[in-house]
Amino acid sequence: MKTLHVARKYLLEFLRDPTLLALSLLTPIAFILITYVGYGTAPKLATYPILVIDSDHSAASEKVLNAVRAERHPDNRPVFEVRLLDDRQVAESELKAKHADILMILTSDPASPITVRGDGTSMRFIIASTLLETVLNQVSGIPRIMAITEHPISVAAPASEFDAYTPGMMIFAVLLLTPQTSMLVARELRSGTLRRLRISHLRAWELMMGVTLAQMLVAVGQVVLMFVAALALGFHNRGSLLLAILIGLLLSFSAIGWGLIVTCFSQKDSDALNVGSVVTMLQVFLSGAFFPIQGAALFSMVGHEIGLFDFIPATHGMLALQQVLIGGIALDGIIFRLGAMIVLSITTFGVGILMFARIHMRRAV
Amino acid sequence: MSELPKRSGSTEIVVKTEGLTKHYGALTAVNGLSLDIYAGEVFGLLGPNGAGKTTAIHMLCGLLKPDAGRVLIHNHPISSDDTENSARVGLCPQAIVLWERLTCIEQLEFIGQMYGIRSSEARRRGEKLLEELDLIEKRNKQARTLSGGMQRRLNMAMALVHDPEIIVLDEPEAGLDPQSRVRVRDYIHSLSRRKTVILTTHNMDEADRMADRVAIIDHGQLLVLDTPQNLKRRVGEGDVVEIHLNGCLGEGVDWEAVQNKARSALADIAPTVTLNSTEHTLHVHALNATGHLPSIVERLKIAGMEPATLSIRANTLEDVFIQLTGRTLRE
Repeated sequence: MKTLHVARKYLLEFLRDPTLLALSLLTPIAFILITYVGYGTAPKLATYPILVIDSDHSAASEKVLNAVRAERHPDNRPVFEVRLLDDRQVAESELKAKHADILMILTSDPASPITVRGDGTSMRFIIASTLLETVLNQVSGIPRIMAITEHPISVAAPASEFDAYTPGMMIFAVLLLTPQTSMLVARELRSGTLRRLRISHLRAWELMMGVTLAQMLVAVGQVVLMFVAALALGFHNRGSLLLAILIGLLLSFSAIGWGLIVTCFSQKDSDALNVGSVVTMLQVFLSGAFFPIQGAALFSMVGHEIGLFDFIPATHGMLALQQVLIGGIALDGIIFRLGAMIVLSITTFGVGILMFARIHMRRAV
Repeated sequence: MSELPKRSGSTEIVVKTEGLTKHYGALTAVNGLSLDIYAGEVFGLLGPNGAGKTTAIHMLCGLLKPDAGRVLIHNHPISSDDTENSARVGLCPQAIVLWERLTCIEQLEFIGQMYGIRSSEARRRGEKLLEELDLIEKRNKQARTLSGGMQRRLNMAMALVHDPEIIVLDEPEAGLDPQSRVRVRDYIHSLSRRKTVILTTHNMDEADRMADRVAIIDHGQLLVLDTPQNLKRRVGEGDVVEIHLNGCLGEGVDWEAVQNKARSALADIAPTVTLNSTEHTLHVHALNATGHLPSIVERLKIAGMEPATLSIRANTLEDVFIQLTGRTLRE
């Protein structure tokens, strides 16, 4: 019961604090708007310029070219605008100048008949190469090309760059719980109210669960708000909002855990806010929420390669959210990601609670 | 050394500290503090800055672990899992400790809930406390919108909402305007007998008016413990003659030499002579000061010190305090 009272108190404080409200609710919506302004005004179903050097001049290469030219969006606009070139140097220059998103080289070499080149940090390249891979895989009689994208989305590609970025923004919003939590709890430290609570009958776990409950409600609010804002701006949702909320909730455990860890090393709410924001930004970047990051694979587990960044819960949250919202995948398709998030988030949360209770909540005698 | 409290008359020891000691590195904040505090008394803990008052009360409330010694409440040592004992103590810290964005009634209700009181009961008690402390009109105002005096009164109410048997008030009158000070003082008076009140203060007048007994500590050690009346009788040699000196004023006066000269002139009449160099005033502590007054004036004149004005007043707790702890400023 005390947990509920603590949660209510934090929610009241949250709702009456313009800074926290803005940080928690307006910032995520602002991110969605910025993403929309940056990427959403481009055609939702973009046509990607593709340079082709056909050194093979065979029936197979002709078949590939025809397939690429024939690929259409649902509104019948071409997916690719193919431009044939002979000179490799010219093609590379054009690619560097971003006159095209992809350079595809067709050769008679059976070892590597198709080479795809592009800027790996460009979302346009990632989307275009994913679409191209789908086309090429449908052309019979040619060997499957190597994996091109850093994190391929297995079922469906995003319909636009805005779509591609939106899940990352949602992950970012949930990770903002780290500075929010650390700020809220550090405020209790600064004002001395934590000491007041320490001498009451409140136990450390009751306080922590109260904070968590309140923050999880904020996380749900954030995910729903961003989802609605994204839909309003033309996001092509293919998945379940409930699954997205579930992913957000699981990830919030980790974000809150990090918030508590940060508070262990902060005495002021401003310190906590700053350090918490740095922790959030690191997680956002390393999880690939803004752009794909490939860490070297360390080992495999149930068919999934596990890299260094896979130990960050947000990495799995990001992939799961992309798969659900963009790929339209159901619960059974993201079980591995959810399992990984549960293990990693609960571990982070547990470490946060233990550290905080030991440092700030232990009664003196 | 100690006497029975004058108001409660109780002999039941509610709080007992035995050899309480706390070190911070090389500094000994509290050094072997042993006190018996009786049920229903108002107990004043006095001392200059850095004397160890706050450290002592934090150990008393279980917020600090003593390096040596122990605190007993109703003869039971306090421990971390003893919620019954911790509920018996209500601490009103010197600093204002409130949730800025909760209303007065929400704060009281919440802290009551944290002590396991049902919401309706916590709210009822909160309303009553707000009424008693003249805050009822502000019940739905957020704490951050209250004046400093109101925040202090709410701070006190927060320590009382779980109806503790022992109330620890750390500098309860600090930063209060005169009206709020009188209100708080009356309220503490109203608590006495029903509750055991332990208060720390710098304000000697406050301690003199409110405390049944006072303990003066310095450098973490107990110097004296008695009723204010007894302390004023025992320490400071009765009355105080304040003599404003003439002819010793001006630049470059060696005040220590003046004080020594006065001391030797009055040695057999007044064992304690202190000099306030800021006010150019000698403080002569003497029994039967009125009877000795002509002799004091005469001897000072002979010593070359011409009294300009003089007054006699009864010894105060502040005189006792200054005599025991010295005049040196503490940080």
